[in-house]
Amino acid sequence: MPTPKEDLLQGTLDLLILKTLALEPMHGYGVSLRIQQISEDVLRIQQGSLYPALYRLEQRGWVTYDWAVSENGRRAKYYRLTDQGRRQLETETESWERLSTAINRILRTA
Amino acid sequence: MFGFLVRLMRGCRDLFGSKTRFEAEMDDELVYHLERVIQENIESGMTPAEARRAAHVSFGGVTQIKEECRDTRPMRLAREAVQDLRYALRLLAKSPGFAAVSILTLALGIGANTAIFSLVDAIFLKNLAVPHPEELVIVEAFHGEEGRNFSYPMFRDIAAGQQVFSGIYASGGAEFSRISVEGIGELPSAEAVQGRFVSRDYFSTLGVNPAPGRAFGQDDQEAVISYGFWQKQLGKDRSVLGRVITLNQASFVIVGVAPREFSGESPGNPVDLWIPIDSQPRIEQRDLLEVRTATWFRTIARLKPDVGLRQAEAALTALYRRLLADEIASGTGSLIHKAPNPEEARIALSPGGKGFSWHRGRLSQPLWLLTLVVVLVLLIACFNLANLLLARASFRQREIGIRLALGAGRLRLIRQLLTESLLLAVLGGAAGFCLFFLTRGILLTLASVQLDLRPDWRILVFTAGVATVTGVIFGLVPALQATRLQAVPSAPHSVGARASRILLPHLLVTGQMALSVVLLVGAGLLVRTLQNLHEFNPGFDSENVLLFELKHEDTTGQGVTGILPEQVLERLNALPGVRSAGLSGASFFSGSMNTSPVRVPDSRVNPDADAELRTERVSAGYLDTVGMRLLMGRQLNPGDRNVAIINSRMAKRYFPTENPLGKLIYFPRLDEQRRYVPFSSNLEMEQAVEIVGVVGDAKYDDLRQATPCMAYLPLTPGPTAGCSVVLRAATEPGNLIEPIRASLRQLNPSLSVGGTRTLEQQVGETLNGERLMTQLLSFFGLLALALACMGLYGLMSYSVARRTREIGVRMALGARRSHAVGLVFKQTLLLTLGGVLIGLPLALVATRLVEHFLFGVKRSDPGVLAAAVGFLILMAALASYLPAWRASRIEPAVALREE
Repeated sequence: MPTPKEDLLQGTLDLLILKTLALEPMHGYGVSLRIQQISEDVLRIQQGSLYPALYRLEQRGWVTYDWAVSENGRRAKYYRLTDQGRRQLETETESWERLSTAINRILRTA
Repeated sequence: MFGFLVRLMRGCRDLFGSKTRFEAEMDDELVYHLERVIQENIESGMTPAEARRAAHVSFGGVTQIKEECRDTRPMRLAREAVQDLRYALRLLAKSPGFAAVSILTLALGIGANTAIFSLVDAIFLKNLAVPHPEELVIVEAFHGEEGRNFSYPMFRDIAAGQQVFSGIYASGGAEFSRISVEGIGELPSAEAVQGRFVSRDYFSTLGVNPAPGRAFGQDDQEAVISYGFWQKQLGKDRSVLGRVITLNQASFVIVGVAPREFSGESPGNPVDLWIPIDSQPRIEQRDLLEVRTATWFRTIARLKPDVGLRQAEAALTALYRRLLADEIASGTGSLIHKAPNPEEARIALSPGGKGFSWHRGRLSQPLWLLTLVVVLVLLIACFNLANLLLARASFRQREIGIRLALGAGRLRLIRQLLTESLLLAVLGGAAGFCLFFLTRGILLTLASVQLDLRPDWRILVFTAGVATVTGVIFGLVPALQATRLQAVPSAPHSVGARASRILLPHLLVTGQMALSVVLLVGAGLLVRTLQNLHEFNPGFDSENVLLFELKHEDTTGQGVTGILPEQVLERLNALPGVRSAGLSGASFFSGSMNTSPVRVPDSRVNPDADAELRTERVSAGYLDTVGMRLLMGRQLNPGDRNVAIINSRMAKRYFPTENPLGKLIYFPRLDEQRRYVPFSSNLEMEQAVEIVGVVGDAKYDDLRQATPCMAYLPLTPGPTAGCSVVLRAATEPGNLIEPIRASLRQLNPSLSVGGTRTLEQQVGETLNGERLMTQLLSFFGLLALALACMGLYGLMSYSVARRTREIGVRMALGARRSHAVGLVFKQTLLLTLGGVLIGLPLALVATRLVEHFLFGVKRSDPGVLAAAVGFLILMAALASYLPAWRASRIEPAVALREE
């Protein structure tokens, strides 16, 4: 069992989950799998953080869920973005880009 | 918006729906995830067992994840509260006996508090149901320290001259002897109908709009009726509007019905109908409207919004002094003896938003005392509950120990235990409220007030508040106590925990006993008082004596007008079953009296010059009928004039050594306004009466008051418009009333008989306050004792159960059964004596509050104290009888095999 290669910045997990769900509705397992795949195994998300995060996002009204039959034929809880979640994703992406540009600039010049 | 609704619904389901929905979804979701990981592991080449293990390891603690997920949800406290509530409900349902006893105990305690509060609220706290009650003020005049009401002419002058009120009105009582309504006929109980003479601005000042119908117009022949009167007497018939109602012999048109929530400005004395004050001369014999000597109504006003109380008082005082000076100058002043100094006169305004009520003076002390008593009862109930919960907690030690060991927070556990006691309190409060609702009629009868004690939000809020406080009081200590032990299930056997655990229940029971002693002593003192008052010889004999008022109503306007005393007495004495009869001006023992300045020049002792003598005009046979003994001289005879019979006290005061017979008493003359003309220096000019007899002293208004000096004078000769009759019958006089009515109507159809009651009732009414207090205090005293005994019984049963083993050992070693019984009784006695030792000093202090109710008994009366203590010990012994019996039945073999 590989340990996570990178610790996630506080708040970044929410952004990642929102981005993942923006592509298509997905269950919890799918979310963690997709993040892992897209980051080419750099980012692994502990279930212990994933589910509380999903519940928190749902509580804030950024995601909601439906139960649907999944690819393996079982019923799974599919999360999807709400309109509010979509707006949130935009703002968070923007601020993340600002932040990372700034950090990159510092790294390059220093 | 829609999303919000979905979340709201999910939230509600979360809170109150089955907990399984949220939990099940979470479980399903996590299981799904776990299965996918296992599958993934298998696909990567692990065996199913390895795959499962690896998946679980990677997952970490599922319980923790769940807990974290749960914590993200809002209203965690609320959700936990609901969870606690369910748990508490399940626990209660599992022990219905415990639930029933606790709820009943609380219902009694809380119900008593609700009942007393409802009275206090209705009489003392509630505002009148009118707009802006805070603007209303009661207007009174003061001459020096002496308060007085206005005469109607003075009221009119003030109303016309003032500029501080937006409205001002006069309101005085009206009584009727006959009422008939067009289309309905004569109403059966005219005397019970409360009428009110009110000035024209009454409804507009109060801001009350009669509906259906309207307020008075300018016509003084219009009447407004109350909702209660409309409903009870007139069948809520809308067509009564516009019909004629005849009061005595005056006719009025019913123009409106007052709103249901408004029944006049005197809580406890609802008004049935209002009539214009200008109609007073048509209802009553005497025209009071132009007389500056008659004060017979209250004055209430509404301050203009921008005028302060003090400012208004100053303006009114100036106005009143001016008017008073004019009045004195014109010689029409309202004062009998002393001419007032206008400079000493002032107007005082007091807040009138709660109306005025004579019940306030009458009931304030009893209610204040009862409030204290019901709080004590509730406290005893709390102690009981606390003890029950402590006993229960000892059975739950294991459960609580385990939960603490599993990491439950102490605060969380206390919260859960408190939820249980609050649930009990709320159920008890609800039951108490029902109890109050069912018994409020009895309460009103006891307090002899007429109130509409419909439960409203104020009473509900009060009950809920009391229940909550109660729940915390009786729940907190057991909760703290139960969660204090170490998180080790075996803790119950440790000695330290046991000592504090056993001490507290004993203290609580001792406290209950102490409070019971206080209440029992109070009740005992009042019972003694009532006995003393009943056994006391008042100087007259009330057995089989009937009282009634006789009125002559001039319906024809011709012939002889008035009652001829000789004729009436002849008629009454002729009735079978009548022993004797007599007439008097004012009713016997009714509190109404005449006093007059007198001069007694024959007396060597001349008490102060301003001496006033109480007088009563009576017919021949009167003194004999009420049972006052003649000590010297003769009785009054028909046709006597200018003679008097004095009482023993007067004889002793004025003629301590001489024979009073034949001495003269001088009374002043009256002018045409019926005011006394001051004595002239030559007493020969005045009216003299000769003392012809002396009767024994008697009580005249109140059994407690000292007997005043009294002179009985013959009735003024000739017909009279009204008088009071006393009549002694051979047997119970109740069934004489109809024959009397018939006989007197036959004599003269204009005569009406009213206010019939026995002398015993008349005297009994003056003891209403004492009776109310005695009944309620006895009831609550017994209730408190019953609760305390329940507590004692519970404690002793528990204690016997706990000591089974010890007692078994003692018996195995040869102790007799009586020894086991002795153990229990000894403990009971110690607890009770402890209660007595604390309770007696408390009682001696607390009974100060009832001191002024007492009659013929001291607060420290040894008989009462001994009776209270003896009764307490007896009841305590009874309560511990069953546990003692159980202790004596313990079989050593069985007891030793236990545990």
